[in-house]
Amino acid sequence: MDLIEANRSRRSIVWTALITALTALAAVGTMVIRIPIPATTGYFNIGDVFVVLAGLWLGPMAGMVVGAIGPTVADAVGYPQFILATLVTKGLEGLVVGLIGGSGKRIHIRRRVAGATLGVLVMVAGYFCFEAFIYPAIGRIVPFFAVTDLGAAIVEIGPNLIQAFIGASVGLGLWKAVSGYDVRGDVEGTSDVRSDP
Amino acid sequence: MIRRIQPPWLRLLVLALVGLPMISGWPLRDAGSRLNELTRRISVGVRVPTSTGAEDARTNAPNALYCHQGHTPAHALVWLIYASGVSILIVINVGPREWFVFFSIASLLTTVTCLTGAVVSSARNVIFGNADSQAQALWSVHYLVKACIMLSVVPFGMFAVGCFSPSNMLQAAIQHGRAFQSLTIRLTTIVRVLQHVLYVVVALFGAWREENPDLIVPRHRVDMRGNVAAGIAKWAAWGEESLRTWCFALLMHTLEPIPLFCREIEQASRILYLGRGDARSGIE
Repeated sequence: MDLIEANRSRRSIVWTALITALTALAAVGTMVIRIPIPATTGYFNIGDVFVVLAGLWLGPMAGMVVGAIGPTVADAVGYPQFILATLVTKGLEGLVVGLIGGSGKRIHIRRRVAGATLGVLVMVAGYFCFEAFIYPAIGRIVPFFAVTDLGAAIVEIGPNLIQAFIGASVGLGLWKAVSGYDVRGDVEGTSDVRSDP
Repeated sequence: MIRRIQPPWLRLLVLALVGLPMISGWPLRDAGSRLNELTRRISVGVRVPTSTGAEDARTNAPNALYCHQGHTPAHALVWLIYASGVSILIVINVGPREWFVFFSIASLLTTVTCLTGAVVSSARNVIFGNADSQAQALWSVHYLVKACIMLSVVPFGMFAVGCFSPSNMLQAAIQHGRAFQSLTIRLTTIVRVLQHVLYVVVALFGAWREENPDLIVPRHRVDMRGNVAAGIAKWAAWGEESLRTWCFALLMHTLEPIPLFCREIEQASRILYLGRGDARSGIE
């Protein structure tokens, strides 16, 4: 095994570990504070914080994986009817945050803020589309998904916007805190975790 | 003893079979529906809702509520029996002490979800004029079923993550050769990190209670008194502060040992696969 292959192996392990950690945190964040919204049987949560963080810190692919898997696992606990919507919507949210906010060090803070903002707005729009149009359409064939309609989707825009604001603002704050954690440096085995803010 | 089942894929299969109702709802939903049909026929003098909000929605009833299908008292009973079975299984495997930790976390999550849900749905029923007893009963049953589901899924998920040993996974990789090296190392990393996250979450729930006693421990509540608006503001500030610090601590404690884990796994895998060379330097 030469040095290049060894470094590639280290990089692979570190990325797997970080994505797993953020995915687990996104699932925990989604489950720990759940305020149900009776109109749609959905719920308010803070899982977006870690999806935004993953997109800003590790880039679009990691953001998409964390967004698609973490909150979806949480939905499986008690809210299985929303798995489909969450998989698509939060995956897209992480992807958009990562594509615009990126993981590069030279990206300006304004672009990071824009990425986080657009990402969470994608989440709000995505849930609205699913609840207003897609779920009612699928629900005619599969009653399992017949839980929302246009009126209920409109009601949920408000809580989703609050959730989006918390997700973007706290996510940006957490990114600022962990941006000193140099992923590439660690892959080279030269840095340690900066655990103080 | 699920944790001792060999080979590991058989253990995974057993866990999947036990957890199948949590993922698919089968066969609990069918069992609940049949029990519900029975309760429709048997009258014991107690009026319990035997239809769900979703059924009402299909008939365009005026008080249509979008409760999830399959949420009747019969379904709650079936889920309760299943949750009890899962708890017994966990106690047999890991002992009552560890089960109690799992169950405490599950209870906390369930309480937050169901209490806030009850408050929000009651407020909605009052505000929008749906405050009839049938609607209230439907929502009560809805959250009862949800509580039973969460009390079975959360402890089982925490138990399942601890059923696999990362070191044994690396040892097992030797027998399968280099073809599975990359996959095995990734799986080992995932299991190790998940177990660590679980440990951090359990520890931080206790830490949160200790560090934010203002509204939990009665002797700390003195300065929270005042008029209603001030009380709500204090509650909101307390919630925001405690949540923000908890999220930050969760992230930092989760990330802190990851470089060490990665180095350990990488070195162990190299030693196991190569059986020679300087694993620390990465050069044979």
